Amino acid sequence: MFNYLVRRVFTSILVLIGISMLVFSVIHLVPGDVTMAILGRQKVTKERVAALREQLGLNDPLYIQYGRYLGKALQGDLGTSIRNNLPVAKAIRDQLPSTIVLALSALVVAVSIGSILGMLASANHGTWLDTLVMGLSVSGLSIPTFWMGLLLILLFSVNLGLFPSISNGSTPSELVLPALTLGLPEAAVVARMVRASMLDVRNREYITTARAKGLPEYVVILKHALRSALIPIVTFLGLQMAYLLGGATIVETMFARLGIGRLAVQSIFNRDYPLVQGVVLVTAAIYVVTNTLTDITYVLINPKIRLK
Amino acid sequence: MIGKLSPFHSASPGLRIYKQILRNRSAQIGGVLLLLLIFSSYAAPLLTDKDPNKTAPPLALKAPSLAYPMGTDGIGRDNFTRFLYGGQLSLRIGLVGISIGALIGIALGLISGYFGGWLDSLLTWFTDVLMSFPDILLALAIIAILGPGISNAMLAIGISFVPSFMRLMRSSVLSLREMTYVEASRALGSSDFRILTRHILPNSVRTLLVLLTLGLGSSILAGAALNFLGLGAEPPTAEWGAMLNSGMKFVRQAWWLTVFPGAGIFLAVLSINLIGDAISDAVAGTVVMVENN
Repeated sequence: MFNYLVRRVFTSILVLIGISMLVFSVIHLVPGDVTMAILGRQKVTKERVAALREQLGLNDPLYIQYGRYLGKALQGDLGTSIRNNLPVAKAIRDQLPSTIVLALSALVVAVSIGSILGMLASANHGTWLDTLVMGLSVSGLSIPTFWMGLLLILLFSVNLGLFPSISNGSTPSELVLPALTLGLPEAAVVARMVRASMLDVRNREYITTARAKGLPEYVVILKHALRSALIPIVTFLGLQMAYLLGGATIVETMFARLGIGRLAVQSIFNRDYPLVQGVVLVTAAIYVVTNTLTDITYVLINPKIRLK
Repeated sequence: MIGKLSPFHSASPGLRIYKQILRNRSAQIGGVLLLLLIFSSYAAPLLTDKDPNKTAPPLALKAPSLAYPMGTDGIGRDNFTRFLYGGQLSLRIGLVGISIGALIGIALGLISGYFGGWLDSLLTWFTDVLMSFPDILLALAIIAILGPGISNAMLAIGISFVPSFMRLMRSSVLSLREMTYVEASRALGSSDFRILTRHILPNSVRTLLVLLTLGLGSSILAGAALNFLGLGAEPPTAEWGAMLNSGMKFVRQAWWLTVFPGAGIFLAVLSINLIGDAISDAVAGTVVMVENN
């Protein structure tokens, strides 16, 4: 058990080091001279190029550059944006809360709608309702996030005028469409899992016992079946950070919403390499840490694994 | 299960899987849908005589009609023609992307799983690192390095699929290399290359096939997403994701500019996922059988 924890944390640290190396090398992998890529077609003097090389620290040997990058990153210094000369860490700190709010709301959408649909399907297994839910679920897996966002805008914003299509963070109603856009495809996955899990559980002996005791069906489903059916789903949700963080780039861009996803896209357009590096590093690190915590929690709550 | 086949003429496992997939209802629907989409994009010159890039400002934002079945866009181009040609590119980006990922991933997985040692540890660590870039972020980071554009988008998508193929191939090699027939082949003096290409790879085809089909769907989605973000095809090139990007500006005036290109992406991915599910069901049966033996 203790060995497992140590090994798991150690692997994650190795992965984090790898991420930092990869992110660090972004600036060196740019074809040609990175300063030219940044300055573009502006008329540049040799002094301007030299100053930029100095600012990016490109004149030192690679290992010194990486050491410096890692050292600063560990102290929370992710460099300076080339476009507006502000600290990258500050830009990320300012925009991260907005992304977290979006991701959590999407998660609420996914879990609530997904479990309701999944339970409906499993309780009516083999009927048209089951087929309908499963059909919706396959569609949800195939629908592009950005298309669904646009359809939601068409329906709720253009036709019904219920929610705004721009989400710059002043009122809660602005969160509705972005959260639905990011959460509904996820609800499709949750619905599938809840259905499969409930179908698996419902023939177990303790469910038969509960029925034999004369409990009403809804108590059997909600109190006995759902509880154990939820275990695999809870762990699955921890792993969904990847989808939510990745999807945020698209959802934030389309709703013009603040957040690190949109920041990443904008910084790519601006060729603002320090900002790209910072956002990618932070996002990947969040992902690795949540995954590690999910794995550890899973082992802690699941005695079957703990015994091994 | 095996249907009309008599017990004395049992079909090969490959043929059985193939027949099972053909009989699967969702695979049938998916197959027809996919063929229709491929046909309509590649037979575009037969289906329309218009030029996808010809602008006609006086005809801008016309609603769908007989002359313009999907309406016209902000600068008067025929949306139907652009839909057909756009499909070509969207499907190609997906296909090229997943092929790059599969080729590199399978090669690395074979090497890593078969030879083991420090190379295996290094490659495994590297895929772990690549896999910790959530979702589309790895592709974004690669585009940040290479710059936007269609071929860079294909490459970026390809590289982001490498880890999944490598992992799958590696675990397949690890279980197959202990098989008796591999041992026999080695005893007969076969080279490592021959064992890998004649024994291990062919026996991994079924599991790889599932990842290939389901991956093709994700690859098309990722390609459309990059194009939607403006990091792929440059104007005036027609591509479903890029069309959605430019149609988004007119979401209040012209619903047809957002509904049709998005439906194209959705139907393409849906049809592939339906086929993929059927393949995965068919293969799952045989894989379990092999493991039980």
